[in-house]
Amino acid sequence: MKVPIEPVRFRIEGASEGLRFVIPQKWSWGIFVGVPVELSLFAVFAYLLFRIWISTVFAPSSFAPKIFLTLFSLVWFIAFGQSVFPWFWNLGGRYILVLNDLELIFRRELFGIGRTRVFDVHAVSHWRYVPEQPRGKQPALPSGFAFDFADKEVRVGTAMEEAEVKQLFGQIRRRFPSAPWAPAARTNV
Amino acid sequence: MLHGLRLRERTSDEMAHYTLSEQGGTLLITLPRGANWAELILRTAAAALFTRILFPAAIVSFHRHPWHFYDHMLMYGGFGFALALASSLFRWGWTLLGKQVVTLDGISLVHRREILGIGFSREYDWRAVQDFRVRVQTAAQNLPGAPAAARLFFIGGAVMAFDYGARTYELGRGLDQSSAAELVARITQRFPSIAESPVTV
Repeated sequence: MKVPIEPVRFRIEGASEGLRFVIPQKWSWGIFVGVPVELSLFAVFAYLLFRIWISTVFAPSSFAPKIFLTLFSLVWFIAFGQSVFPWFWNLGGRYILVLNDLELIFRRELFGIGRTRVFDVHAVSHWRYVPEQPRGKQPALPSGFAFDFADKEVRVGTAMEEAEVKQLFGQIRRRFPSAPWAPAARTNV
Repeated sequence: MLHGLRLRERTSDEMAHYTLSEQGGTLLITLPRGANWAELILRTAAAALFTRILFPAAIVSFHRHPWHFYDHMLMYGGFGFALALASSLFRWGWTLLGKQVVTLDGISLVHRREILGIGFSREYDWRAVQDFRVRVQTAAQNLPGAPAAARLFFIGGAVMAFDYGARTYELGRGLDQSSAAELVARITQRFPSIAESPVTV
């Protein structure tokens, strides 16, 4: 089987404020299909359980089914709330990175709404690729890139692989060849 | 006469878990299968245990009460564990009889995995293979007991990695760091172009 050569996910857009990268979220069929299926199965299973329960255990006039229904609805809405953002993020989430001689702007946005962080670019150093980082029972931090800002690390988990991160760094170096804050030609991994 | 256990130290060539040969300009490398005995035995034992107990139980209860919901659940559970057992058998087959071969000829890089001659190959376009290097795999440091788990499951070796378009591929899981470094040195000495970094300024 011939392995296809995948193009980079990011694109460079002309912007008045500097070099602008747009990095769309990595598409996942698992999230796109899995989340609705999981929520639907959960709802169907709970409904069946509810029907069995009220028909076998309690009298129709009992309050218990109502309490169960309320509790189930609460749990379902919590599950829905936790799943809905990743589902929409998978659909339309994107990262925007803007660099100029003064500042580094990093924005995460979903359908135009998001949070922007602005860094003094002269305090930025040590750009590097960061692999996926497992966190025990919590979801793993995705791979991507990181840089030091003064005394703290800023991690940008765009789920990019090392090859793609290198190409992004190469584009930054090409645009800012003599900038001391630009990524080094060879980044440690 | 010296009594007691005698251990003969092996040379680095004897310890290298790979073979490398060159035939008419083609570099042929046989890589280790990356046997993870502890994981293999544990997985097989778990699959066998659950399949042995749950699968027959599911069959019996299904025949007694064909339309009972929980029996169906048990039945599907039994099938799941049977699949897990099949997966374990495949892993054993791979560990005992599997073969992993990398071929480099300046036109393509081919990575083939096979068991008794049956397998699949992945062919990479030579022009897109860049920055061929060693990548050290370390166990996650922030997990409680990670180093102990790493020792048990032999996590923490090294692989050969290369960039291919926007993706980074790895070869040779199961190599130790020195073997991987030696292999990469030999390959890049023979084919210096694949050691080049994809982006040059």
